[in-house]
Amino acid sequence: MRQLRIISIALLAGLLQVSLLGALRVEGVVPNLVVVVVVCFTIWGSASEAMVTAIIAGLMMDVAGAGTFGLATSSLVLISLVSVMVRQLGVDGQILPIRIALVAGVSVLWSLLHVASIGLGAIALAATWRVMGLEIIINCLLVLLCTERIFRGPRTV
Amino acid sequence: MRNASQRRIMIIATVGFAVVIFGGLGRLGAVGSTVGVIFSPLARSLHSFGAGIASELGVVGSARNLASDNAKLRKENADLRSALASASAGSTELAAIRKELGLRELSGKRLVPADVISTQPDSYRSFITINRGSSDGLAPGMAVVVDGTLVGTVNQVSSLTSKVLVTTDPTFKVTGQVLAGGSGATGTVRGSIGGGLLMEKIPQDLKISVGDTVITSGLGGNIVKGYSLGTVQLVARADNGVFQSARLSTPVQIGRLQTVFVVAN
Repeated sequence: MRQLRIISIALLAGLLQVSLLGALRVEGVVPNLVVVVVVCFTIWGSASEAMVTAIIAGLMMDVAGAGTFGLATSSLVLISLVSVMVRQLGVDGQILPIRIALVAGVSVLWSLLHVASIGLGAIALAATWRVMGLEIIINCLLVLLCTERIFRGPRTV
Repeated sequence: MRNASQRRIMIIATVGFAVVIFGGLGRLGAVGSTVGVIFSPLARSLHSFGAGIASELGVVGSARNLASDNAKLRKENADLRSALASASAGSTELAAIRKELGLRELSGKRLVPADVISTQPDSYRSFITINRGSSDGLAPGMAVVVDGTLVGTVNQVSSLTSKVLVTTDPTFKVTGQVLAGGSGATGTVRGSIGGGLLMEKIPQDLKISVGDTVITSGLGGNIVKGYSLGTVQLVARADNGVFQSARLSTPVQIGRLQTVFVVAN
């Protein structure tokens, strides 16, 4: 039952990301629900649940998008591993400011990986940093909507 | 317990990366198409819903500027009427010259309407997926337009769907020409992260002004001359430079696109 719930959440997050959120751009920036969901699974669920979500939602993004195939999946798997490592260091993501800081950190990682896939020269552009900053703010607002009740599961590494 | 958990994570990660490698090598074509067919009706509905919300929000946001927009549109209307009059005279003359020289007509293109199923799910690239593919005669490189404005070019084609590289993508490039002012300045127009277009490599001695319209020049590639790209928003000149550049505002907003037209041969 728990596995079915995780797969459903991952499919729903992926579907919303490629359709509704892709259309609801704020100043050209897409809210990244999938990143937020993966981080929430590492906080309230388990590492394997976060990774399954990362792979399912990441593959949906890769299939729907047309950039480098596998970039979304690889980035999300990396993000789930980083989040698990942070949790293993004893940082408790259940505290809201820490959760927001964690989402901000992984959003930077996501952005840098995607900008680097276009070309390292793009990192130097002011527009890139404006988009990155706005994306971090939007993702931090999104994490406020995610509650423990949705993601709670057995807390194992 | 801990070892079992770590082993599970390793297995999941290995399966994930194997799928990514297969996908990268193009071995997941059938799986990708099947997933696309299953999810496309729902994705299209959700995209239309999101695009509708984005349009409504845009209308509310622009209500404050109605008076200035109205004045600007009146001026643009007058300019367009004048341009239309001279273009009509020009086209009659051109038809006569073509007939004299025995040149074939440039027509023979057909427009294929297509619905947007989904958009690129991140902020750094600009692609849309449309519900027409090779079975409708689409091929990579074809121009995609809406209201006379270039939206992008067909990039990847499967039998039922196609992916369109939108003009605002940072890797998109096309040769543009400044329409107004009579200078006919040409330059390379490319997309930028976060939307908007940049026109570069415009010779410094040619005059361009804010508000000038930029169209496709027809030089290189499959895109014919005359599709609108945007209007000049900002001009950047350097005293010691060979070229000047300009920032263009484009009417193409990837989130609001619902129906587009592919210019098929």
